[in-house]
Amino acid sequence: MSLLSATDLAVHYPIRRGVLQRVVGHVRAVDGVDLSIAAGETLGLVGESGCGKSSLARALLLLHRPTRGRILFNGGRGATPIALARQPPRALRRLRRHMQIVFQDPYSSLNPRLRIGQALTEPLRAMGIGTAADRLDRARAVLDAVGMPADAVSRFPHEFSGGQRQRIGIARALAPEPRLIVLDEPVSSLDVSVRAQVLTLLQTLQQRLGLTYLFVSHDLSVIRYLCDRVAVMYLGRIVEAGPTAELFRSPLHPYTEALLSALPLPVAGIRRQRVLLRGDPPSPMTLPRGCAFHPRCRFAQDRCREEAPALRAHIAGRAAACHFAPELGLAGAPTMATA
Amino acid sequence: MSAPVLQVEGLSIAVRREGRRLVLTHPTNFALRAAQTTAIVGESGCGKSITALALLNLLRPPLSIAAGRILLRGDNEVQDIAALDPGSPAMRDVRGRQIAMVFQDPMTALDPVYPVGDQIAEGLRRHLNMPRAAAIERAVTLLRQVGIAAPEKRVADYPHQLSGGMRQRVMIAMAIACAPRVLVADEPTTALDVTVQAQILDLLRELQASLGMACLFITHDLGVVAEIADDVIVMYRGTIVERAPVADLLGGPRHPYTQGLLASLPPIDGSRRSLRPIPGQVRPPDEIATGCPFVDRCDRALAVCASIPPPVVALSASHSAACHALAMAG
Repeated sequence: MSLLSATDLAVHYPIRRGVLQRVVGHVRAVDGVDLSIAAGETLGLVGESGCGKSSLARALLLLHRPTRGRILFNGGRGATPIALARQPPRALRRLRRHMQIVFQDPYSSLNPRLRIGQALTEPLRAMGIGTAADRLDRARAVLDAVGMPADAVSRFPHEFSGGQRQRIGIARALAPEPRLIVLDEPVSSLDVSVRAQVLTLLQTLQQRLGLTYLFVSHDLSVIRYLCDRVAVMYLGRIVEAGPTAELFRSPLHPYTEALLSALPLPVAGIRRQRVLLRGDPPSPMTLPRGCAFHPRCRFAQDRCREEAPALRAHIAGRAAACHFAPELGLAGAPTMATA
Repeated sequence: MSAPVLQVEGLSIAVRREGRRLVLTHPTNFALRAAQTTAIVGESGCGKSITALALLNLLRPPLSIAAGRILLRGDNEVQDIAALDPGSPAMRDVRGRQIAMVFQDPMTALDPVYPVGDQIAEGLRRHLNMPRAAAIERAVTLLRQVGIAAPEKRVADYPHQLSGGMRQRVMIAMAIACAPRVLVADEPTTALDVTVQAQILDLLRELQASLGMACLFITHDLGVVAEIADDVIVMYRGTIVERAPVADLLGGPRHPYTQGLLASLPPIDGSRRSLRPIPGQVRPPDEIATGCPFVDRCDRALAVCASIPPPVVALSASHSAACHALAMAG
């Protein structure tokens, strides 16, 4: 049963030029995405900078309005699914307690002038949860759950290190007792040893509270470790989706193969054959015709330059947007065995 | 083994703060050899970047070299960089000519108002007295060498017209322009996407093989270390805690900190076995420690660790670690 699903979701940003700020074009950051997240799973959303993964994550929570598409939130327990994009602002605010987000940068996502207690209780007040005393109790409880001392409520963000601030960010997301948490690069700005602490915390919380995660990251090794399923994004579209172990073992899309082969592993002496991509990703302002990946793809044929491939299922549970997907025989992530 | 091109002896870096001098890196020794890459790894604040800057005498007040020598071996003379004035003509002759640097963020390291060709040509004109036209022509060759398509057009581009990966290639072209003996690269791929990072690491390896430079590579990423380094130095709070050839360090780390770093990484076989994070966090540098810098986070700490700095234990001819527990184990 999917907790959240999106159909044909698009986020286009207008490009304005000149004195009159006329719209001269659009950046198609997210361009027709179908996605569903099952209750209790961790779905990884991976891609390189500018691929639209953060825009997609934010649109799913209606943090900005999608240009088109439908998002269904399934409150479960026999309730009818709710079309999020159609909700009036007040109803949406009440629904937000079920869907929370943790941002990448723990320095800029906490208001420096608010004590941690206020930062944690204010959103609860806006969602109409509990009395002031209840909310403060809740703040102390979630701080405890993320391994922070209860006296943190009366302190300011600058008194904490990056890792501690990210714990506070996670506590804030937990406070309204959500079903779904979107984690937008939550460990990318943390040092290795602290990153492992936060990843372990996220796993523990999920097991204890039955949370559903959408984990957005550019880091394949973290995605592989934490996620049940992975969706790979390239230039606003999902090019491949499937269960983590299978996707890493035998990717279906040439872009996934290239990502996996570029992954640096902390093992000496793997001088592996790399699938190097030519050039850089094109700008999402001027997407290439046909398959957006074709200018960098080593398998590109005439058909790829003309016709954009749809994301379709090839093997049970696995989908790829490639005309030649199942036949390419692509290499998976390097393992110790092949080293 | 060849004589080192650059030898760092007892290098210590300090910062002046509110009239007090605070030591950020404790006496550090290492050597760089031709055609070899030494990586310094560590987390933020361990002193790896200031060590890199010190090699080019680029520390600015309140940072300064507190003690030690940085010996650069030329064809027939040895120069102590640490003894030169940072702004002196002698230092300027070394910088860019003998030792060159690639920075993490090419957008701030490149000048936005000059075409990239002129920026590459600048070093050639300054150090090799090339006339402008010849230097620009050489810049085109260098751009081609670092894998930029249509270099004769790109040479006139400004930095903002290039992608992040191309800018980093320009920085590398600039660094290798005068065929330096030593290349210092400070997190050169950290700001790049993985597919572009793979391209840049391959490029650096190829260039080193063809030009024979000694390379010091600063990074926090043990995966990148595995790709690029011959030897590895692990730093923690301004101290070298372990050093070894790359295969020994990643395959058989001995210092509890290095072991903790590797146990903090997701398993490379894709298994979901739980991570073993290092508890706690790095103490700020102004909390002066008398004993081992890692004592507060170490699961093998002994009573002696809090009070006396650990001895450097030779584990093999090329592998050493600074740790009381290892010393006692013999």
